[in-house]
Amino acid sequence: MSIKHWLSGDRAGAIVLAVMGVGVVFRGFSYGTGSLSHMGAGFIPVVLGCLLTLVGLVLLLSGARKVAGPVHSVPDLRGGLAILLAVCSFVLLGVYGGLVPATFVSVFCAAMGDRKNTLRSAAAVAAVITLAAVLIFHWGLSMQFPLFTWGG
Amino acid sequence: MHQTLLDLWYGFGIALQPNNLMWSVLGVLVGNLIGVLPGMGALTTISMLLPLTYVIPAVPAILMLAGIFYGSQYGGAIGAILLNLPSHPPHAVTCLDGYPMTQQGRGGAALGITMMASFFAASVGIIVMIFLSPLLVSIAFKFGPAEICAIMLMGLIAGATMSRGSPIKGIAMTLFGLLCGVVGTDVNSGQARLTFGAIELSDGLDLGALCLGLFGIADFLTSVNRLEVKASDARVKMSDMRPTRAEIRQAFWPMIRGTAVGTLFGAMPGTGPTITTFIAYALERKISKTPERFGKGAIEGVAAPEASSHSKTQVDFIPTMTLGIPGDAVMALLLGALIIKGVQPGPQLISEHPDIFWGLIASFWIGNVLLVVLNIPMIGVWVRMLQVPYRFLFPSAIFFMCIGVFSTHNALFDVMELAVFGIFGAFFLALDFPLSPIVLGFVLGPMLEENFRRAMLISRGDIGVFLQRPIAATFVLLAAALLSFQVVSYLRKPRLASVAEAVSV
Repeated sequence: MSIKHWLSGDRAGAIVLAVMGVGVVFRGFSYGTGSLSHMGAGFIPVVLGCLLTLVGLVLLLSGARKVAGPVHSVPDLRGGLAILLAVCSFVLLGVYGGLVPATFVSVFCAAMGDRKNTLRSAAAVAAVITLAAVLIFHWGLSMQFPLFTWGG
Repeated sequence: MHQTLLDLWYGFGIALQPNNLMWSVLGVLVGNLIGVLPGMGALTTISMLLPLTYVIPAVPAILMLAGIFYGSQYGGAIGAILLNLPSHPPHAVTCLDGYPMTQQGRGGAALGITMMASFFAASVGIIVMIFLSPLLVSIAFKFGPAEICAIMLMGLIAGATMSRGSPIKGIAMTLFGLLCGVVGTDVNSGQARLTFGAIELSDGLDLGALCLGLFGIADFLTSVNRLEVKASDARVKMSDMRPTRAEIRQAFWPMIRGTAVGTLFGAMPGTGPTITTFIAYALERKISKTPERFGKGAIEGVAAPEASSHSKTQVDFIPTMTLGIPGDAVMALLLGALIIKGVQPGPQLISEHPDIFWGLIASFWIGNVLLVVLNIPMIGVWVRMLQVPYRFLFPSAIFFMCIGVFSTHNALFDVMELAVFGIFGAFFLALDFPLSPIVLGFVLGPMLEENFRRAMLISRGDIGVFLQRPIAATFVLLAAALLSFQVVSYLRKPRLASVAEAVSV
């Protein structure tokens, strides 16, 4: 049995959760746990972290169960990256750019993630949504989001 | 009895005020409009529209949210029946017989029956809610922090173990959600917890960003270039929506049985609507004289699950409003919205905010009537909405999610949370972990911690208090029994698939 196969499915998730749990326990201790009658800020995190680690270990040990086949597939690389890039560019261009460039670029990025979209169709969607954004959110709801900005 | 009717009358007075009614109508309309789009489940729709409600007062806000909820739920059924595309898990069962009906040209009738079934089931659910809630409240006033804690614990365990798949995974996700709820400043000591040094996190994670990331972005991440949306050439006219008399007769008893199943399960906290619809469907198949028709366009297979999910969600509002303990993720989201509006759900809600409680109940009915009134003439519009290609839809939706999350606190930092939870969601989805328990844990976490601390303060650190007080002990034991039963029965026979298999065959 190869490592990749052993790691598939539940076990990978179990390891991530257990590691997360251990991390939380360590952080929790640094906040101070206190006693049961006077709990410190770290008490609940430590308890939750321990439980998460425990559940992760249980899952790791019982994870041999065969799943009939994944219900949800692993994300498509191009599409997935495009979507994440879209959200990140919205944040980045929201600070250095403003509503108009942020909207256009993020919608364009996301649209290019779909293999059926062409440069032209992606630009068209982006343009339409940018127009809608300006009309609805800037003029309609007068949101605190300048159309163009640099830093600020 | 008399008092209840008077209160209900008062509620209708609130809900029918032009200002409130307007928001209600808007909620149903927008909810239906967004909910009908492929990939937009009730959770995504509500969390996307959540910021809209921040600007208006509490009463119209909650009425609007309820409207959005109804609209999106019904909108999802349209997608399930006409496109075979369940954007909300409970509708997965509706697809089984709804889509074959569309292929046979009876899609309109299926939609009509869905509407009748949901209206009927919701009405029954509302009546149960009207009479059961005050009863529950009179008991709930005897609850101290220890009891509240014990009930929350049971709700969380039920939510974690009663959904599909492995109960252990459900528990893991609940714990993950609880940890997400810990992030932020500790109210008692002012200590910043799990914020990774980010000042922006000192107020905790944003509920909207969490939900949209987990259910919106994650869904797009997993379905982009993978989802094959068949171009629907289904044309549904207004006149098609009326089922024939024979169909109504066929669907009548399944509708009532579905409602009964939903009402029964609604009373159990944590049992999600998905499992309820599966049980309703399996029951119909079991008692049917012609079980071979199921899966090939049996109208009973549409009526029963839809009725069960609507009565279930309606009854679910009882523990949500009276105890502050949501039954599933959608309820948790509504609860979170109430808390954001400064309304603390719990036994005191009915007496402190009668306008919200009774107004909400009245608006349920109004919302259901609105759904019927809106949907019949607008079905053509919905069908056209379904034909928006996915490749245009999801980029636009991502923008609306970003701006929605931004608008909550005018903070771009929250948009980053959206991306992070999108990654988490896609990761968990790919490994077949359930996502709904995260929301449940996130919303209940802070309340659980506060009540636990109070209980421990009162008992001077004696953890045995949970077993000494009778009500608390009952719930703790119930939770323990449920947990051990679910885990043991899961480990014995592979997966809780008996129901699912019966359906999928």
